[in-house]
Amino acid sequence: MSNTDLELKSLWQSGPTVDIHTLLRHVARERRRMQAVLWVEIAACIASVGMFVYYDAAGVFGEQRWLAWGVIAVSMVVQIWMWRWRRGLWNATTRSPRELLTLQLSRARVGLRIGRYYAYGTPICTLLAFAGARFIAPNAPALSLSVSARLAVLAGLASVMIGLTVWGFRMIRRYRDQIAHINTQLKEFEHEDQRAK
Amino acid sequence: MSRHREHTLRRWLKDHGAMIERIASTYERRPALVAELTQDVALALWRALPDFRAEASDRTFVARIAHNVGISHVRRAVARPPGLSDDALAPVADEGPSLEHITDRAQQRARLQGAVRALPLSLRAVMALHLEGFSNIEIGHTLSLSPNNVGVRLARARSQLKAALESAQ
Repeated sequence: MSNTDLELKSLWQSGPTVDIHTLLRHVARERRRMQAVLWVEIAACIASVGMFVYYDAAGVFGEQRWLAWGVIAVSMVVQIWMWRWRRGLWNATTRSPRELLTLQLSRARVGLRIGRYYAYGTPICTLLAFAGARFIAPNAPALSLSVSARLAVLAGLASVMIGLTVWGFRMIRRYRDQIAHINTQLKEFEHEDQRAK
Repeated sequence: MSRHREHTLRRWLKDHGAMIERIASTYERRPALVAELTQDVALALWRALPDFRAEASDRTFVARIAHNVGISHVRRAVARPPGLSDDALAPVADEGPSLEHITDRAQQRARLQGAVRALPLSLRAVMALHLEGFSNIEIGHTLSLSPNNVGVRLARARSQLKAALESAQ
């Protein structure tokens, strides 16, 4: 194969054409899907706030009402932060490749940190909560539930804890790989810059 | 879709759709995933359209988005380093006049794609755009590099590409 520039360019550009109708259909489908997801998220937010207002008015939370409102406020902040995070990733595609990689690196580091919170924080917090409860209120009465119901609650809690921990470890592995990959790419860029100088 | 936005996207895909697919093929070797990546680029173009300022040509804008989506795709996959694989050398669907010529040309193109994929990212993007017919200044605009920097990278990319193609033969 001859590798003169013109021949290579002609060879490179000789590929098949793309079906733009398929691409446009995909874009339209994805947009509909994303809008549906957004509406579901907004509906879930409104429903959870409405539910809290209802239970608060009914006096269900009692002394713990500020704690309950704290939980819902934190959930809302997390939701808004996730929307902004997603939006930030979309806008990043217009940046230069190096800026994009730097942004991805910082995002991967945040992801790694969140993964660590899940992986190590969940079991540590669970143990501390149990130990704290025993220390603060050693004679607290047991839940007024049957043994099987208590077991079901414990099993549910344990599975959530284990799930979060496993998810955290998976996040750690995924983001560590990504950080290593992005660092390699950025080093390549730096290396090429130094050569160009 | 708003009408103007849809019209612009349609025009960009019509004018640059083939380029998008070729750029996608420098980040992914399996045809099904190349098609998927091309669709992702189309979606990213839709999202990025409001940010388009006519300061640069639409071709450089589209190429930048395509490369950035490719970079994000590789980061997500964190796949093994791409290289000349058996898949890259596999014959591609028919195109061109005679059957022998078709297969030969398709194989040559697959080899070239494989060799471009094997380049490091910083050289791969420069070489892909050069093969698309971009000038050094246009490549500089697309990748935010100085024309001098583009020239140096291109020279290195050429020598690596030549070595890869020779070893593949």
